[in-house]
Amino acid sequence: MLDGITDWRSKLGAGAPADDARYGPSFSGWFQGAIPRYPFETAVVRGTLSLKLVSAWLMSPAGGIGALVNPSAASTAASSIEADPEYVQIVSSWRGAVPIVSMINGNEHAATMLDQWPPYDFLEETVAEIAPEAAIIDEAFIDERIDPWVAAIYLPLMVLRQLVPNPLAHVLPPPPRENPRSSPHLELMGELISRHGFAPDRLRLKWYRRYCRVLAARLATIDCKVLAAPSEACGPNGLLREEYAEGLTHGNKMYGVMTAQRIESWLRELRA
Amino acid sequence: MTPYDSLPRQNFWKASAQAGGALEVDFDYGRKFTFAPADRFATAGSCFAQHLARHLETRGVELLAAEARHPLVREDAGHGYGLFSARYGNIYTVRHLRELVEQALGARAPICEFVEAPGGRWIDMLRPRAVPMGFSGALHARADRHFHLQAVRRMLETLDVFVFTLGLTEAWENIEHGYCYPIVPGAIAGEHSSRHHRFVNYSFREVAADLRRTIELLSAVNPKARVLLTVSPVGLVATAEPRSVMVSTSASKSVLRAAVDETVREHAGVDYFPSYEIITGPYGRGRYWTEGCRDVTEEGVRVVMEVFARSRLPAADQTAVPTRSPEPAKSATPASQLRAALEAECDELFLDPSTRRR
Repeated sequence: MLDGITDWRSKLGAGAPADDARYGPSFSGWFQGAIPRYPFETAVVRGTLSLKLVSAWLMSPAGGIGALVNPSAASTAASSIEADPEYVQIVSSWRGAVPIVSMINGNEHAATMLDQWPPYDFLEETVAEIAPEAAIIDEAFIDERIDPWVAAIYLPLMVLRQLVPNPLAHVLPPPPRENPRSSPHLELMGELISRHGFAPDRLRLKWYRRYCRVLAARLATIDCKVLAAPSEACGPNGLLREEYAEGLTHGNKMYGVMTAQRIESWLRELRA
Repeated sequence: MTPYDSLPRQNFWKASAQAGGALEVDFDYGRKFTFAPADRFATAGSCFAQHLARHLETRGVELLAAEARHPLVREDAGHGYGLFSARYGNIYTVRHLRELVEQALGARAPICEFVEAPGGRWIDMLRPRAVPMGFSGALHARADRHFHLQAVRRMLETLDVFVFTLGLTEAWENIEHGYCYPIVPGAIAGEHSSRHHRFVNYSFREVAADLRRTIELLSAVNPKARVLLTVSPVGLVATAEPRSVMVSTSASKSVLRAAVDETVREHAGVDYFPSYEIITGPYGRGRYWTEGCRDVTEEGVRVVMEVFARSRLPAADQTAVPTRSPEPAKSATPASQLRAALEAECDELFLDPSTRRR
């Protein structure tokens, strides 16, 4: 999103092209330590009408940011959560009326793109289609898989919510790509994809939709607004249109602009 | 000379009963076929069939798993896989089997009757204990039933041997649609209603007809399939007939046993294995019954499976006990003299040459 609406890379010297063909341009500098460790401010120069300035905290692995909370996913019991002191300190400094938008984690569901299991299906209320000759997996087992992915977002935001009362929103990840086979960047999945291939579109979408629904329900309990993927970026089947995709699991700059506009709408709602 | 004179010892009670132990009695004499190591078995039937399946597996027999646990299903969940070749649970009556096979092979529409259990999970009334954890909703139950029926079809199409243990003649039916429940509604799930459910006690003619129909359907999709029938020795827990459960048990088992006998005579590819006789016969002197005299002890099941392995599985052929000639009684103790006197009252005993020689 920042690539779509700001010139943050040139200002911070993080524009070096990715030296690893597995990754697309949005990963430039991601692994080379060019991403600052702490939040930085950058002006919005295009794509939106009212956003002027963004304070961004990019948590790249090279920046030395580890797990925001421990355990990171195993438990949702507030008493057992231990937050990273640096995270607590930075988030606490945001106390006030400034809205906070989270884009942490989100593509954990991507592992389900692999066709690694015998034929199966499960019920997801937003996707009517059921495979005729597949084992029907109880949603309880699906949710067991999803829970850690949800916790990876919910727990840090729950800690955040306990620290500050600011308006809070979380941007859901883009839906699975329409044609993942066309992706030139396979990230860490290349070997697994060649071994398993891709799961049917129906299943990739179901996992994504259920994950988003469970996450949204959980975030609603901490007064966190959930911003869904822009509908115009999705094809009739609900998957991410190719022209908005980058790599296996990410949106590109155009998708980022639409996401920024979605955030802008939320900010207008807050003001209204 | 009579036609009996040339018959082997297995044809005679006394000679058979003189064997040193149950494993030496050639219970399975007269079998039509044995099995090859590569044969794929599918099992179904009453709870006794579960014992059979478990023991077959320990003897290296390949049990067809047409409906196996999916890796996404947690192993320790109450999923119900692995008891039988598909997740149909106990099938006590031949009518239930027939209706399952008809559904699986498209000869009748799938029977979908699901009820919500108190915990909010949904139960398939046609297999209320086959999936202990139940289903998340009616839609899930319906989708799983379709998958289950496909699995049963695959099982029927690919099995080499179908072992079916007949359990009961008494059952409950849905009045409106006429289908059979594995157990009276209300016992595990749902609610019994005399407006919707009726008691039936299938007759010999009905059981034989259901068996015939089932075998015809199986043969149509799998002409090489062989069927091995057994009758569960386990007594009825309760009877809905206005008579003693002991009498109903005897009546029920007699009907089943007779229907099996007729079916075995009719079909070359159908055979009977006498686990019922091994357990219930007087030769066992009741030692294969658990304390309540209804269930079979583990020893009983083990003996049944040992007889089965020796008689039917090639690997066990070498250990099979060779046929021995009947031997006349060697001494005439007071007790044996008394026995001889009593036996003499039974003319039928004279069909046995060894008795006549004495």
